Amino acid sequence: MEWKETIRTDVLIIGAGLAGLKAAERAKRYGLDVVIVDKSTGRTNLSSVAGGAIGILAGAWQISNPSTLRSLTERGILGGAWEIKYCKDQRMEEITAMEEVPLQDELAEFGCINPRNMKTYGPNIRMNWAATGPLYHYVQKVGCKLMKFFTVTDLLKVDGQVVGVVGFESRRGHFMAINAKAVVLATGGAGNCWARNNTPFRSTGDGHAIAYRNGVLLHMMEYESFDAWIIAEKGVPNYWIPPSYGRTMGNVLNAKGEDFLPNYIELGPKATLKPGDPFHIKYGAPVIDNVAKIGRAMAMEVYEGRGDDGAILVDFSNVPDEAWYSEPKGIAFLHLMRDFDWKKKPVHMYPGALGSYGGCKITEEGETNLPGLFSGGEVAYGEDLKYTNVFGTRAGRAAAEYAMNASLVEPDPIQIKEKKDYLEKFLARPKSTDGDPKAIRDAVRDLSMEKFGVLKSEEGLIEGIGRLGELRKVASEKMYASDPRELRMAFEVESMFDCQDMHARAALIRTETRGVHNRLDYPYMDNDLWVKEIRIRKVGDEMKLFTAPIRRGYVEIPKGRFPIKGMEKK
Amino acid sequence: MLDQEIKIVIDHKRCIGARCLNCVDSCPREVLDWDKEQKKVVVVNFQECILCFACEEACREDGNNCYKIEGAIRKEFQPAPRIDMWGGAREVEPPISV
Ligand SMILES: Cc1cc2nc3c(=O)[nH]c(=O)nc-3n(C[C@H](O)[C@H](O)[C@H](O)COP(=O)(O)OP(=O)(O)OC[C@H]3O[C@@H](n4cnc5c(N)ncnc54)[C@H](O)[C@@H]3O)c2cc1C
Ligand code: SF4
Ligand code: SF4
Repeated sequence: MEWKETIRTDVLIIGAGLAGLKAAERAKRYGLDVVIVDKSTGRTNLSSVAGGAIGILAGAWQISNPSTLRSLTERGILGGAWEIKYCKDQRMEEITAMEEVPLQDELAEFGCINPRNMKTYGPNIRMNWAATGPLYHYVQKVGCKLMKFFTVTDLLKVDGQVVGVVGFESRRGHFMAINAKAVVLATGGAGNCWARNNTPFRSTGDGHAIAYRNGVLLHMMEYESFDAWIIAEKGVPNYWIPPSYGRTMGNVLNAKGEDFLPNYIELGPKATLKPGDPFHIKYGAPVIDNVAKIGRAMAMEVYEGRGDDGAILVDFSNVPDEAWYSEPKGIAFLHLMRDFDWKKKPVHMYPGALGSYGGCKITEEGETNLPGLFSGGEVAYGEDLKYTNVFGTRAGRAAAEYAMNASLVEPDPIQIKEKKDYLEKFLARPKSTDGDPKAIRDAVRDLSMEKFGVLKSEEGLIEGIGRLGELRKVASEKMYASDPRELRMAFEVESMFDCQDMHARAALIRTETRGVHNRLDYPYMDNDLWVKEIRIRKVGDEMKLFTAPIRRGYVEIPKGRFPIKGMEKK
Repeated sequence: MLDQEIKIVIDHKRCIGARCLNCVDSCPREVLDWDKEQKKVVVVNFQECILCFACEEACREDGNNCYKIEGAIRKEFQPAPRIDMWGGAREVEPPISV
């Protein structure tokens, strides 16, 4: 592959998801040169397929209760239980301020006239693309340059300061360096590192890996959220059933036909436990407060031998057609199920990866510990559109302010050559069965599901880390790329190795169960030991993990150990 | 169960192929690929298709409009009613998603 001349800009943004677009839009307001690069089109990302719950904040639904915004924010998408909320509590204060919520007017400015009318999964428009699409066009209209199909593979640094990136264009096939005064990392999440997931295939945690390799401080890597309603049927996508009215009316059962959820979740005082009642009436508690627990419950049932074919069953036979046809997300279910007759057969389901809570440790302004590097979105704080929106914007602002006072520092040509050689290596290797990037990717994803899935244990994590190392060794010797497109995949696989290694090692240290982190060997939440976060940083060639106290003051955290319902040893 | 079969239909005569590949590159789930031998856009993994319509939209936006997903339900929705989500006015789960 040939080498193209280095281009120069003030602010470089990696990733054209919501975080990157918001950052670009904000940085452009300073009158700077802004370049956005994306390894794909910028439309195959989390922000485009998301459910679009940001619509609520955009005024899509009337919020009559003043505390609702706060309550919504608290609940986040974490499921609301304070045990999980805790892991986000240090950013709560910032989020509740919500200074950067795109109000309806702001969205309108980008061309999104009626966010209330997002045609989720409708004929014309994809879910949250209704909100990111207009922004995608808007940033280009105001002069941000979008370079599609440019995969960033590494940062360029001079004296510890980030001065640009290297990467390659995967359509025409050339290498290139980009020299910038400030760089924003907005590469999204790592959900596709797990075999079962409902994320786009490009969500491979590239940014997490790039950050790690360059000595950025990361945190909370042990938290990967799993959505419970991921279909496990042949011929049907292993994708989630979008949250719809119909979904909440399905009866979740184990192989014996028992409703097992009451063994795992706290029932509300008015729980009817009547099959066919919508979830929040049946259990007297809203789904959103129980997302993590439902996933845990499903996995526990299967683990303890009450599953059917490695999954649990959801019976939709009593759900009337209108429930599906009345809303876009219900129609999405009909589309996903194809000719599977759920009226006759219950649907197999098992949780799958959705989003990554962990990532770059950033300041409230979106700065990382590397001068010149900023970050926002799922690669940094949180895994939902609200955080992405707030911290994407802030990262853009901080990068612009930094760039205003900085001058361009020429990158080191030797460094560029080294990084190019690293990529050339894959292209130079011969094709082989064990070096096929797709096959290695599948192996990593299967291993992750098996050993780093919903339920974890010391034994499984250690074995998994070992097997991941073996796979990595093979990849480091044999993984090839026969064209630039395949090179992108090979690079993604390399990212997955780092991401999953961080995930597993952090999960191994956290000897308790909390929120989406479930340890079979520690079936309790340990507030005496674990009201802290795990941080990761590469020092020399070694991965260093250490703990740090979390900032308190938002939620009350009682002392003691608390058994997890349904997980205690019987 | 849908009455009709859902399928991806490409008018290969009008498709400009390798010069474009917008549909292939817009797919979040690697459902489509460019077959170098056949010189055609092919559906390689329909099982993973989540019916997000990104491919169809990409082809239409670029003016080629030779790509259709047949059999899908195409229904326009009215704007969601302004509802009070937590005040108890609505019986069902609030339409909030993850
Ligand atoms: C199915 C689903 C439903 C969801 N629903 C909701 C919801 O209803 N409400 C909510 O708040 N949140 C929801 N989320 C979460 C939310 O979508 C994400 O947290 C958010 O969109 C992340 O935005 P981002 O900009 O950080 O990442 P992304 O949108 O994924 O953007 C990252 C971009 O970076 C690019 N990139 C990655 N690596 C590289 C590289 N090496 N070089 C160049 N470019 C690169 C990618 O191509 C991508 O375009 C949902 C997520 C999923 C998967
Ligand atoms: S987007 Fe349309 S014209 Fe382009 S390759 Fe796909 S089918 Fe052909
Ligand atoms: S509808 Fe979406 S998932 Fe299916 S082929 Fe098109 S882009 Fe891919």
